[in-house]
Amino acid sequence: MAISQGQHVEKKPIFETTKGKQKKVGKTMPSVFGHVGLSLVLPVLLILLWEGVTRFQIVETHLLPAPTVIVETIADWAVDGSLWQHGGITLYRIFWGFIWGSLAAVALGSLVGMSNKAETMFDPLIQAFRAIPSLAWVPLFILWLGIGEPSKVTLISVGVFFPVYLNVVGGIQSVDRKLIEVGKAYGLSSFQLVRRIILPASMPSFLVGLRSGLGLGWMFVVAAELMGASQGLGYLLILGQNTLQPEVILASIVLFAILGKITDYGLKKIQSRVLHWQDRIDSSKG
Amino acid sequence: MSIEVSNVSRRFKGETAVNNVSFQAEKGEIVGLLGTSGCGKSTILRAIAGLDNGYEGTISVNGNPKRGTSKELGVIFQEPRLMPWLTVVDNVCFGLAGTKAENQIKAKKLLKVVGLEGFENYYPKQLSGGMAQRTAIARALVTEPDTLLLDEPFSALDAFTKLQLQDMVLDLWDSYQPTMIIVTHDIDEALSLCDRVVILKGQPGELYKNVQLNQPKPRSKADPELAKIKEEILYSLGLSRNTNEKIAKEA
Ligand SMILES: Nc1ncnc2c1ncn2[C@@H]1O[C@H](COP(=O)(O)OP(=O)(O)OP(=O)(O)O)[C@@H](O)[C@H]1O
Ligand SMILES: [Mg+2]
Repeated sequence: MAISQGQHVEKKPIFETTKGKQKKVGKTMPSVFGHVGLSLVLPVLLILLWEGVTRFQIVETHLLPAPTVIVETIADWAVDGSLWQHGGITLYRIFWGFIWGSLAAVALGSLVGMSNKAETMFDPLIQAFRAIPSLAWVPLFILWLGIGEPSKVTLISVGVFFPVYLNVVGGIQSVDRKLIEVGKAYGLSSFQLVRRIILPASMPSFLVGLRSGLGLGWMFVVAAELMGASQGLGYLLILGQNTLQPEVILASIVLFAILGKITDYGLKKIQSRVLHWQDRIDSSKG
Repeated sequence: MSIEVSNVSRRFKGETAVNNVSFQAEKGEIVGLLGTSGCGKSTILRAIAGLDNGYEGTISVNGNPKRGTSKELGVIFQEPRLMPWLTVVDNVCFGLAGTKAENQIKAKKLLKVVGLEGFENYYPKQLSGGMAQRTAIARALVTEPDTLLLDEPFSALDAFTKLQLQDMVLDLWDSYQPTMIIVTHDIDEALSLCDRVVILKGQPGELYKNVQLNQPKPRSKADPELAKIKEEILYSLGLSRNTNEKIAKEA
């Protein structure tokens, strides 16, 4: 009797401390505003420091222009219309590259994910192509398709293709066998199984693929525009380099950052809207 | 439907999990599959459901040997297996074919029976284990299948809910007499629900006993006849009080 009581006394505190810890974590979770404020501290300090060292000529401004100069450059572009022209063509390229790359990836990925035969037939080849650094294709695409839009869009879609493809295949192949059994027990046909179970269940992985595909798309749009373009934000990078205007380079870098962030934010919103049912660790944050 | 399992064995990579099991469920009969953990109850149920075709032997439905699934068989799995992207009510509607409005009405009626009224629009991530299992029970019952295969349907539930749902199963049976095969660890559950209890034992699992219960339902737990049968079953599984005391003394 005494021994068993002693065990109880020993066990209880352990259980309660872990519970207490969990509660604390929940309470100290920063509110949305605190969160945003905290994440802004460092960038704001860095920009102030940057402005300071350029204002007081501590670094040479013909190499590193002040943040205000960069903002002015962007504002000038907005006024004379070149911002919309260059930004627009870059967005156009990434849009079509993203669409074609994802479509091809979804088509091939679902085929490979669903059928073992297709997997043994296509997957080794696709994996072999994946081993080629995608930028190595550039000369060939230019040779085949010229330096116009088609070669650029093709290059970008190659970049988008692989992450989306890998995630589609992975998503389909990792659908819980137990859920598929439920469908089978209800006598669903293969098509119904795909539509009612496999498709929704592989959605999380697919959206992750789209987001990383978009990230790579931005990388490849820069690459495509660096190599022979007469328009686009990537062209402005080269222009800045050739005309010794670092503010032009930095302004287009900033624009790349802004556009990349906005498009990713859009996909992220779609992701959290489509996947609101997902049981994730951070879902309690809201 | 009547179901006949004859000489069914199942091997997993050379390891025998179920060895030569035969039993029958007549139309409208409630059969309990009783046995200790790992003796192959779920394996047999999956074979009957048509989800696993790797077994030897035959399983006949209405006298015709069959392999593969069928809509007339409703299955309640050992785990809830809800679709995480569907709400509770949509999960219950999963196997229904009719129009959406009709299905929702049926589903809501059944959710009320399993005590989940007001949780229709919850997602599985917001449910407790027992609530999820009750949703799964509602999903299987809502299609009113001819035969129900239940794999430990109530083992995740508290004793009180368990009794309520056992009553519900009996009510359901009264309403249209489906054939049922219920896998369970719980001898009391088997004794209060079943017309026949099939006892499996050992690893690989073999048929040990096939006990017919003729007492009318609902049955009183205090029925001396049932108490005797329970003692017999416990004894045969090596779990009767006498053997337990022996084990305790030796330890
Ligand atoms: N897919 C599988 N692959 C390999 N072995 C399996 C598989 N499924 C079941 N087994 C084995 O078959 C045996 C019986 O398993 P089963 O799930 O039927 O047990 P059970 O009687 O339902 O047990 P419990 O009461 O714990 O649910 C176990 O030894 C298990 O290891
Ligand atoms: Mg089991």
